[in-house]
Amino acid sequence: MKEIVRLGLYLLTVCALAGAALSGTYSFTSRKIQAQKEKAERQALTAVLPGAVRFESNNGYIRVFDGHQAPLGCILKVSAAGYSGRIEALVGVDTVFKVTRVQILSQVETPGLGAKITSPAFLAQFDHQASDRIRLRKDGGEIDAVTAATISSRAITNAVREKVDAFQKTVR
Amino acid sequence: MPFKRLFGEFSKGLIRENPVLGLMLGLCSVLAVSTEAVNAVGMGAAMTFVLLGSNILVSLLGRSIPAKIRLPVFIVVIASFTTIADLLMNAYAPAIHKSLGIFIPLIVVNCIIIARAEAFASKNTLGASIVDALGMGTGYTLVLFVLASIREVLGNGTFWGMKVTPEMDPILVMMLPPGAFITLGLMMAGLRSVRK
Repeated sequence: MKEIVRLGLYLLTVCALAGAALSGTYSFTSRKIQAQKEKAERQALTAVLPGAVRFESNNGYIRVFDGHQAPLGCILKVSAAGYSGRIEALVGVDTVFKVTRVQILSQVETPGLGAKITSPAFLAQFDHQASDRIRLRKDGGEIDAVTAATISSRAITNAVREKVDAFQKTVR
Repeated sequence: MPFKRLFGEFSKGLIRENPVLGLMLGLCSVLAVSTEAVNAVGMGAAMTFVLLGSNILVSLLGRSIPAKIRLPVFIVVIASFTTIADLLMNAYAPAIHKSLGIFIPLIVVNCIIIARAEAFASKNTLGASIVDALGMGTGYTLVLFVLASIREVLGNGTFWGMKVTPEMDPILVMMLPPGAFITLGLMMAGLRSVRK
């Protein structure tokens, strides 16, 4: 009985010290982590609609204006079921519903294969496309799939097209 | 402690008792993150940091840890250092943190660290434990770096994210788990034939 108390107290001390060290590190890094996250979000937003200055959330999408308050278009959030998990992306559309740029926010596709959907070469194919052209080439569209990663490529391509189509319908 | 002995504790982690190729510990993360050289260095740095922290603390606590609860104590120590490494990388190296993903928190269950705590740090002096951690960490990083470089060059045609083989079609299997197993197996075979 005496021993169990001694062991318990030893573990309690170790865990208390560990907890103190962790909360110290957390409070030291949390602001920096938050700032990094906000910076990345902000960068993604301006990247999909170049020239964007002011953002205005509007049920499910973000309306974007330039420095002179002229509407530039909207930013939509896309979520697709990829090969091994969700692919989250931002899509910018201009005022005539052409895609300005697609930016992947997070994905867990196979490194070296499906993960290449984040590469600028793949994503640049979406620039200035109307939604009816946004299909893989083997599905009759204009987008070349990433080599050996058709599932990932098709998932994001179809999700972008469907989202832009749906958006076009709700706005009109 | 004589310098020669300290150097021995360091260099054993490089080849003779290399944690990956010699002891074959912690292979899960080695196979998984070795697709890019830059990931390998990030993972190696995180691993060395946790190894160093846990070896220092365990060797300082040393015999004061009751034998019956030494494993829970080791795990609390290792988990704490892993979480610290995770938070620090998230704050100061967000790109590498993002690409390593789950494998940073999984350092907690990496058997290299608990093996060094149990088999070395708990029985040796602070100095020897520090050198041991540095040697093991360097050995781990080195193997990971070589493996990742081979896989990245052959499987993706790049090194450190830069294109190196413009006209060659990359060998895709090198990027997939079989490529990791094949390359690691060849590296083990190579090291064994050199040692004999």
